[in-house]
Amino acid sequence: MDKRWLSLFFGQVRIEVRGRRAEQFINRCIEHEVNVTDIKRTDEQSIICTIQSQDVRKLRPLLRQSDCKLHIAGRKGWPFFLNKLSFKKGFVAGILLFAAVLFMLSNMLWRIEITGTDPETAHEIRKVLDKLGVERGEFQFSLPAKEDIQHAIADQIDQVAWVGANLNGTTYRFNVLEKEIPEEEKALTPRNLVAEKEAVIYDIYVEQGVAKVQPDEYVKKGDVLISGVIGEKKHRKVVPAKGKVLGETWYESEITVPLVTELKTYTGKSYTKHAVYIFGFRIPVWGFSKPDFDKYDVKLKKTPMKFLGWTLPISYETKKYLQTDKVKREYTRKQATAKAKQLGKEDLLNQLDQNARIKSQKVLRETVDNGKVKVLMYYTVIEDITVEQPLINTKETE
Amino acid sequence: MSKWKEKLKNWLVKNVELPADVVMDLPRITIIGQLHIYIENHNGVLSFSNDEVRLRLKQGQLVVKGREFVLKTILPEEILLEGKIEQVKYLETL
Repeated sequence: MDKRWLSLFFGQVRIEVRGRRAEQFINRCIEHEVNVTDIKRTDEQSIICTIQSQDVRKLRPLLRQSDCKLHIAGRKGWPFFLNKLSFKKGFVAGILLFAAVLFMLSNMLWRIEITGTDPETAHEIRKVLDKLGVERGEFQFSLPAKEDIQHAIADQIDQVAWVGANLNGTTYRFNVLEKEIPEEEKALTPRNLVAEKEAVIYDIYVEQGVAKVQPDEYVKKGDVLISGVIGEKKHRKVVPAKGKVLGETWYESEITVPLVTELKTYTGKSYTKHAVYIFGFRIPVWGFSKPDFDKYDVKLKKTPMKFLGWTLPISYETKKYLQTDKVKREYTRKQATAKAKQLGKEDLLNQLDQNARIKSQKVLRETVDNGKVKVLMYYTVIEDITVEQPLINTKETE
Repeated sequence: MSKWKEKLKNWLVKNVELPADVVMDLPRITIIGQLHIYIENHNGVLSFSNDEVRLRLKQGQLVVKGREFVLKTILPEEILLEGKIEQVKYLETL
């Protein structure tokens, strides 16, 4: 019955009707389906009432019939409000444009800060970021996901061990942890160099101190290699031993390689859905259908919208469906063994010091069990086996 | 003929428990306190002023007296009147 909300939408007109038979006018209005509301008598000759603005045209014949005169007393509702505003069009447009520009700027990236590294590495990181599209003036929702950026930097720059990326307002902060902390030359204290593990001495080079072992000699863990005590009885002196002792050490490792492996690969085909969240309510913007492939991984990225310092309850979401494919990889026994050897070698080199090298390798045992090739490998490695042992009391070491 | 019809309607209302306003085209009046009066099945406004409203009915008139009357809504068969209602009276004109 009540269409008040509708009337607000279309606009209403408050009219004053003058005439001896104003009631007649009201009855006519009803007959012609003109909606009249809020009728009030102002004096004997006139009434005041509200009608819909679109009905005004219909009134003329009704007025003539009922011998009344019409006088418009006021207007309200959207259309009139807009009309009023249109006088100040430029002003309103300016405000809207200002808000829009501010909103846009609030969602851009304005600064990239890199901390925890030297300018050179920072420059390298900037280059990687440029390639990824993380640049000043870029929209935040078009940036790649945080994890991807972190990975890319850690992968492409060797010096970087770990990157913490953090989007703070319009600033992207990167906290870099470098792999190698430059070693400080410490003031050396008197010390011996002893064997870290059992080995056969391969080569010895003494910078300071007395060599206690010779090449091809077998040493156990803890044996003194280079002594820090020099000189005969009276001229005895304690110095920090310096030098390098390469020893031959042995490692055994067991590697298992399955003959058949199921791999998941990306075909490169993808489908992206865009959506806007308003107060947690999802409104799709683009991409309404389902991806036309049934095996996929989903990559979700949600960027909250900001306005100046505030985070709005609006966020932008991209959902990327990456098509996957299952590939069966089959090895022959020979291939599997070769793979095992390679894996074992890589694994060992990862564990060892950078300067170490593998002298020889040997397959001790090779078995096939349960569709898996099990290889037991034996390695001879040449590596620096020295470890420091401080000389605290000179008497102890003789 | 029409008399016979009237009699039948009367009988229906009394014995079959059909609502009288539907069968006999009578006004249905709802009054909420002194604030609102809601009249269905009227036949037009005869006179309207701040303290009196006269409505035409199928038979006779309805007079509502009070103060500060405002005709909130008026539709072909319904009227919602607002104000301070003091009395409602039927006038029979034959």
